[in-house]
Amino acid sequence: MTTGDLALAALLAALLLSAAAALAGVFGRSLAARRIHHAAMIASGITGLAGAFVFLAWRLPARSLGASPLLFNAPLVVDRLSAFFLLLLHAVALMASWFGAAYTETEREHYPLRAVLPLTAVFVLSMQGVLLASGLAGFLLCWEAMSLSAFLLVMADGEQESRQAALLYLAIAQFGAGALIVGSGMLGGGSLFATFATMGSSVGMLSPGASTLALALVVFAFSSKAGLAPFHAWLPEAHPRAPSHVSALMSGAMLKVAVYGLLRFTSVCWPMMPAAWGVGLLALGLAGAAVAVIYANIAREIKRILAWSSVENIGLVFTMFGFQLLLRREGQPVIADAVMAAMFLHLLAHALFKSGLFLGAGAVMHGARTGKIELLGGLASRMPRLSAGALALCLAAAALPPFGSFVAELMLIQAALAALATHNAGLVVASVAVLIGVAFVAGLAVFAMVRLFSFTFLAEPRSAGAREATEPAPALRRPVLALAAGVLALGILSPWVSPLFPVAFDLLRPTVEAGAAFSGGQGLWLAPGLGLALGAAIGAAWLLRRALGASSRVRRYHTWDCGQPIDATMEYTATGFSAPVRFFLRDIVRAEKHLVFHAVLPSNPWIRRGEMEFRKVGGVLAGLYFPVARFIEDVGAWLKRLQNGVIQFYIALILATLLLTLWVAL
Amino acid sequence: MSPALLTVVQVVVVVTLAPLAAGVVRRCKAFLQGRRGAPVLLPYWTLLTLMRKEIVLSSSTSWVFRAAPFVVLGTSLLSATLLPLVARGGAAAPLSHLVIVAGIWMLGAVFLVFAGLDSASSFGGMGASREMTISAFLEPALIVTFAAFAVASGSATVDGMLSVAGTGLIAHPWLLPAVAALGLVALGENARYPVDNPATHLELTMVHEAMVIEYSGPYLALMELASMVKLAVFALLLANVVVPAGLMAPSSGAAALALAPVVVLVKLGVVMALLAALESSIAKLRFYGLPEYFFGSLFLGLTSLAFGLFAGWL
Repeated sequence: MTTGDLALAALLAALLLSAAAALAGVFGRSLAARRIHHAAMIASGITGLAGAFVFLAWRLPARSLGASPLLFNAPLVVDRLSAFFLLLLHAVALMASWFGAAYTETEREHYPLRAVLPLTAVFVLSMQGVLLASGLAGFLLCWEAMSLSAFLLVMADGEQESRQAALLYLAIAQFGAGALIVGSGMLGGGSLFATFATMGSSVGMLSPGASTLALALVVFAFSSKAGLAPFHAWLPEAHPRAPSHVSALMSGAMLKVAVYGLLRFTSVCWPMMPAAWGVGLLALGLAGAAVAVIYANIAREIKRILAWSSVENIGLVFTMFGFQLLLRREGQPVIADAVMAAMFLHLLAHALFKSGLFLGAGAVMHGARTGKIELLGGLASRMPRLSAGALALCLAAAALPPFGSFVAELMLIQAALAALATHNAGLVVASVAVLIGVAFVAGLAVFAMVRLFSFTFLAEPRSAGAREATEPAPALRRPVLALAAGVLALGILSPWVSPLFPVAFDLLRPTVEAGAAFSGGQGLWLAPGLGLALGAAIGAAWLLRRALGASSRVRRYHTWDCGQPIDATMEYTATGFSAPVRFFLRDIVRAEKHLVFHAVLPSNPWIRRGEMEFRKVGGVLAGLYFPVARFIEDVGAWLKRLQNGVIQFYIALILATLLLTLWVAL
Repeated sequence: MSPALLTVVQVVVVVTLAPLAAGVVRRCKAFLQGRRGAPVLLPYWTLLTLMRKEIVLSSSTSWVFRAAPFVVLGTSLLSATLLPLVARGGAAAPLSHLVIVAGIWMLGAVFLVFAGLDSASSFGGMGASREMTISAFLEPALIVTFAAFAVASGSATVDGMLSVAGTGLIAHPWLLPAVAALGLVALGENARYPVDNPATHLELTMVHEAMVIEYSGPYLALMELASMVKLAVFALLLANVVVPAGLMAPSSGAAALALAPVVVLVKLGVVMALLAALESSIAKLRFYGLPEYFFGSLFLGLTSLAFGLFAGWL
């Protein structure tokens, strides 16, 4: 048995194990069945991770996992692109299953486990299927299974708001799926049973107009699933409503599966996309990231902030995708490959830190009984271990050194500088936009993540739930700590991780001394030194204190209070903390502030209790989604006139259809 | 002299001279305002006294509050290691990539903000909110300004960018707005006029002082030292962009090495005197007037970048 056979066997085992987990989950009433389900899910994660890693690290050629009529005569195929995304998916799925095993048991009264467990397994299984499918039919089937299981999981807690969020998600997912089916049908030459291999040749037979239409449909389908603005409206509603380990799967893995779809379809059908698409995706990505990161600074629930941050990160991914398209069109393949590598690094880093943060949010919400950051606080001293992991993950989400996301940003900016040096007018304009846009987004992302961490974990608790919280169980905090360690290692070891990326990146090793000129991916090779230097500098600060003979007498006392006792209600709030952002960017945010006062004493109108609320004005829902929905409703109302109950009219319609069919057919 | 030794010498020189620089700027300000002022060596005694004092820790704080001084000082020390301040071509020079430098400064600011919020006082929260705003909104200006230097010098590291410093600035006159932008960014990053008033403890104006208000003893000493080192780093960086003369290099001889500390002292003295003159002659900006400041520095940097790109075409 060769290494390749072993890797493929492991991937196949991962598929079968998640299918078994789905089956076991159906009997979720019995504890034994639940244990089998959790064990199978974790085993599926481990085998899948190992198989994908071996496939990538040993640089195995594309292989098929065996055909079956069940798979519509299109075998399951692994190549480097799908193996990279399988690695990412299984890393997230493993941690989510590890966490979920303990989390679902503690949240049994909230979620119907008989439904949640099998649906989670189906969700993972369908994502595995999307990544392994080599034909349109299998791909679309798994794609729909993924959307529908996610839809059901979003409303698992049965609350009214969850149902609304789930329906919004379903509507946009089905809109996207419709576009995908039509686009795929055009690419498959009218047949949904085409394989990716034959699609590449049949796209050449389409007229230029039809090819552009198919491309537009496919790009819309995948970018609406990935949450690219302005098709993102469902994401901040739906992701926070699901159980935390499912939110981690949705933000950590499902968005990446959508990016995989885009990469797969475009690489097969349009290896050289027109430059206008690069410009468009770059502009949408940057604008979407900028708006999303502003809302991440305004949202006041942990998981909502994280969802907005996902929109921001997906925006950055599309920026990188568009930028590399443009670079490739303008004859700069070396820089384009570096941007591609930055994109894969960012996808991997985002998968790790975002799933870690969602799992951490689950542990916090379980311990403190609320997810509103205005009601949290003080958890760093109550949950020291979880808070250390959350701190690392927040710093990673803020793209600060030395984490993996920082290295990706470093490579992107390095590539933008390299593109500036080409003196190609189009590239120069795009690069300046990338420089300013990415710096703006990075600055505000730091703001949002600092706000998230500080108001959840620091200072005095602002509610009884937070005051009484204790360190979560080991099974709830260890996956979070493992993911924090993972994203740290990804940053420091990034030069040795990069050979796993499905892009020809090995050519980019620095030939001259690093930093002398900015070609391609040299930024990557600065990462290990940076990690070491940062560690050494913090160690030096610690030693300096020792060397200067500092005293170590410590007295505990309350915070300076101007002679009047202070409590948690006098702390800065998260809303106040980000007030400068709202004020400075008020033309973009456009929120209405509503103040309501109630007098506490009837005799004195000045002693009063106030409530403040921000209401969003406009926005993408009112501006884009509702007009589309109204149009569809109007068309529906108009078509309803056909259903007038007159039987002669129906017979006339049938006759007309027959005649039309005959006319078309003959 | 070996590059590694050069780097060590640079860190030692910058860290030992940083309190002196803080003393000089205070003395100059006092002189300009008609006061006698404290001795220039006072900051050394302040730091040593603080080191021997007892630590009073607020019972509201967590481990993050105790870790923050080390991270903040660590990032200051690291920027004193990487950047070309006393010597060029040190062992850490390849790491002085513009994104890394910006990231390290941001990391220091983030931990200052954590410390300010962890104290659970509204002073700390207010200072933290303002500091985060300033750091976040100055990020585009910082990146674009460095990018202008990168385009002119063909190098992404700050060490390499010094090839267009000094007489290089005369050859590339369009870099002058970028130098001005770097000055504005330096004032903002160091919490000086017109963004913050370093001499006040009045809550309406505080940024930096509000965040460290709950620190005492050795922790306060570390925080103070960190801000002094950061000020010295920015002062020397600006001075070297305008006058790169007197920088040590791996190839320089014994005479140059002996002269280098004197050059550093002169540069620090001049920049600090200029800073004192600036702070005595202008008023602090209103906090909600800062967007003009941010966009002003961004557009100065962008002007340089645009002219630099056009110059490349011609």
